[in-house]
Amino acid sequence: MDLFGGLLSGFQVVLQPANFLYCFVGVFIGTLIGVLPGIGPIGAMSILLPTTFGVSPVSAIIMLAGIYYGAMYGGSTTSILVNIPGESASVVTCLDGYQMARSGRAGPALGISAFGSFIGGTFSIIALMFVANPLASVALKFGPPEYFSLMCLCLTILIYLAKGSVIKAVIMGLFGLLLSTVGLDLTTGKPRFAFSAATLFDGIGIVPLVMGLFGISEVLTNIEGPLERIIFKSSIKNILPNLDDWKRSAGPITRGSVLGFLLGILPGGGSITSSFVSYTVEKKVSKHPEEFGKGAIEGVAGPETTNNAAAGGAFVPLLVLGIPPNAVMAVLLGALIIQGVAPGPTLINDHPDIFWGVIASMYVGNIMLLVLNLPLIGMWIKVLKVPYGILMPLILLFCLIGAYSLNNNIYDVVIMVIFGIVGYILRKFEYEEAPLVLAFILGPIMETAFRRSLIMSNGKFSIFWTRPISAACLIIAVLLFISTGLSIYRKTKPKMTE
Amino acid sequence: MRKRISVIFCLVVSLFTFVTLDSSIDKALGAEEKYPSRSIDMFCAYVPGGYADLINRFFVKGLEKYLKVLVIPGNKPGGGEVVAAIELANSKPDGYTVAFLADGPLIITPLLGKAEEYRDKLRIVAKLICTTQVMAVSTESPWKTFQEFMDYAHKNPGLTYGHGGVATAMHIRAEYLNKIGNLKMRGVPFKGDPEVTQAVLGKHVSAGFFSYQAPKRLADAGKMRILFSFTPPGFGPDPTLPTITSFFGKDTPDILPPSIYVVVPGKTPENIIKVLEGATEKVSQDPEFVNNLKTLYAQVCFTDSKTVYRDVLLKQGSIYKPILQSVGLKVVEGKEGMMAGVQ
Amino acid sequence: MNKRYDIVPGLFWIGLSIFAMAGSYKLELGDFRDPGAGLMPFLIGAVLFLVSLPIVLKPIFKLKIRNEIPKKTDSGKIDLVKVVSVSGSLFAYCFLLQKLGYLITTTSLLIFLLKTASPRKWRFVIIGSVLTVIVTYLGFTFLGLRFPRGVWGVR
Repeated sequence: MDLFGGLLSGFQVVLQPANFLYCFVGVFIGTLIGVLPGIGPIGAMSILLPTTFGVSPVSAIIMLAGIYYGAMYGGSTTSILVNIPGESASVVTCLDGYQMARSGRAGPALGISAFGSFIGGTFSIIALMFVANPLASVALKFGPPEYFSLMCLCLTILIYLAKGSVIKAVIMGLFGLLLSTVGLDLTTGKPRFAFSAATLFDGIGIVPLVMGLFGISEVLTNIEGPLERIIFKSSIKNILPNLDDWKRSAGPITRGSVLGFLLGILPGGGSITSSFVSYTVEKKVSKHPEEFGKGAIEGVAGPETTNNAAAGGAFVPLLVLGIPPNAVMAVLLGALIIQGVAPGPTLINDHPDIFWGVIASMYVGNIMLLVLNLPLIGMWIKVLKVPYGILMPLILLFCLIGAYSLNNNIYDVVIMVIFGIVGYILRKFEYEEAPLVLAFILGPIMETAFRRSLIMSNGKFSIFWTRPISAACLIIAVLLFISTGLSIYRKTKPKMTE
Repeated sequence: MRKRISVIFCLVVSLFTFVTLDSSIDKALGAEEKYPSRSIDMFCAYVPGGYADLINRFFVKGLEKYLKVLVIPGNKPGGGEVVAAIELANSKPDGYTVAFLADGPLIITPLLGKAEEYRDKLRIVAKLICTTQVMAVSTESPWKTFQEFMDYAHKNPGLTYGHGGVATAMHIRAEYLNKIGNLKMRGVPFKGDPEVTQAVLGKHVSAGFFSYQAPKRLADAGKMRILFSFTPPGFGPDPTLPTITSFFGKDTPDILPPSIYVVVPGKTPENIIKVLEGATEKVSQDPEFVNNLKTLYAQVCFTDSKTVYRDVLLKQGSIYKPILQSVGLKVVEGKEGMMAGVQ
Repeated sequence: MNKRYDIVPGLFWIGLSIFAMAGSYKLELGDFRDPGAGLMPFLIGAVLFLVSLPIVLKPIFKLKIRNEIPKKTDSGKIDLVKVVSVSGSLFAYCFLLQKLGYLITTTSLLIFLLKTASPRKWRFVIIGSVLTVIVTYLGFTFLGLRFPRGVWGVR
């Protein structure tokens, strides 16, 4: 079936009233879920899984897919407004988005986030159509050695994340790595630092961690002074991004789309990693790197675009190979299986209506989301005007509910509160959270990949540089590391001559 | 103005009180109610969308039919299914909290001595499902049958295989095959079947061991070749595949297929257990349920509570024990290494 | 925060690194070719130890650390009591949630937070808390969320 014929038939499927409705319901719920901190797309999809039983496969998938990328749109809202990552992929948006909100530019931040998400999402769908198959086979070439080298590469960019002291960023990275070792060691099955608590066997949850580190600690920081000081400057005249914003965001959005899609294809890579990478890339190529962390719009445009592009990319392994690249896709896979549809190489031939229906629905869904989110910006800005005395308890309440809803486990809430306090203390001593989060996410992937590679090669290290992709990543990582070292050395040379 | 506010205040407080207490009122009024008379929570130890979760959802639908109450599926993943087991152990034994657990927490974890928190607090109502697990290779590899693979492995020791997790039921079976076939393979641990699938397709490992449905789909698409199956002969969805007894001879001790059980807290009254057991049996014979399971290539193998304790747990445990030891894990001997109640 | 106090986190990092190294040593380090469970945390602990040394030693020996960004001074007093009490209330919420159920615990928490956060009348605080709890309870239960039931069967 040729491309455009398939797409056309896909649109025919989507534009049927029932499917159109399902698409809308999906993206609407997805946005809601994304906005509410904690309850991620997984929670929503699993709650709605039963409702898909009685519904046709196409409709079911359209709705669930809508929830997934709808959540990506909504997740940035709370990141920007109150520094709470709606879900882990929105962590990076907190860095500059929240600062923009504090200086009265919440509107443009939300606006560029919506537009960037739309462009990133649409781009990834187009790419999905054309290059899904070849890219899927490339993704398969990434085995443990390649993952290890890729993670090494990603960790070297950790240093660029830092606003201030490099040593402190490194310490935060190490702390993040250490925290990531808590849990059941995957290679030997032994629990590490779990203190016999069964919940800790799976490690510290990333979502409670970031909700606490960013959201709760922000609340604690805010209440330490008289609450009248918390004024969100809200000049509502600029609700939408202005021309200058667009000029600055064009590059990040373009780069973000490609980057997000490519990284989203890699199982385990995903949206979080890609948003961090996008942020650092933008900071590196920007003419005003010192603005990052204080409200640079590139720091919102890039990562937000990448999020949604990665969400699209995640569909590649699922639809082409039947391998879910992350937990959310696993739910989608489950829904398909219940319907008796087996995603995999035969999907496009056996069920072209599903394949093309989903793709067409992603176009439609993205447009719906843009239309849905833009008018809401005005409403969100008004939320900021609520007196902090009332806002604060509500923020805390939603965080508590959100954290609990992850696994119906009270310990997730406890972890969130603990890290809220930890985050508060860290801020007082001027340590930054971002490097910790990045290291926390990448650490386990890197370590597991390292040990698996050694098992595969029976202890020989050569496996890392005899395989081409792995070698390439390592070389780039080393070059990056050297160049960072050199630039730091150059910066401090004048100081040394004192 | 004051009056209005007071009225609103009273209304709010009474609404609050009502919502808070209505469940208690239910209890007070219905002293000895028939079981079940309200909704049942049925959770499994896996993430939504996962294999066992889907089976759970099918089961829930079937249970609703026979118990005539709402049954709500839930998920409590974590800690290698231990979190769900502990949660169940601490739930009220009134029959309204039920769980769907597998070999992992019920046989393997006690053997490893890590089940202290729930070992004597659970009661298995029935065994319901048997899942099929297989070994498969990529179609781009040279082995077309298990015999060819075995011959190759004998001449070239050091092949790698992927499995979904250390000390999982799958890992144990893989090591068992490794041992009796003298395959001299090294196991590369992954987290869950999708990662194993990816590794096999990408040829990062020579073979993979996983639940049947992922490799089956890929085999149909010509990307994988299934070489071996861990089911009693003639039992699994594809009877042509070699199995332990069919390949190695009738006298080789076989491992029963990995199973999923219906479990309740230990102190649940016997009459409630009987009702649940009966309903589970009815669901196991329900044609719609059996049909649904086919999409997951799982099979019904109902065994009642008594037989489970007298036979199944003991047998499986005794086969698992030496294999766990051979991979370097410490095993608890005797009664302390099993769920309480095993005869 | 004054530069003097920088030594406090520095000491914490040193302590943490020693704890990590000790804990991982117990887990079997293995060697580089066949890493055990403890190798990675041990290495991380070791590097952390090395990197934290300058932070701790600096105030003692008055060494200069490069890349030191001058700290901004804090204006105004810090109400640590509020921070501690709010944190404490969050912990209390966690522990009481399973015992007393969602409705009671959340209402109490909201009342406490609203009172701490801003000076408002009791009437407003209580009515607001109760309403919020009811709305969220109904709203989230509708979405399919299961809230913990209290010990007495109270939800």
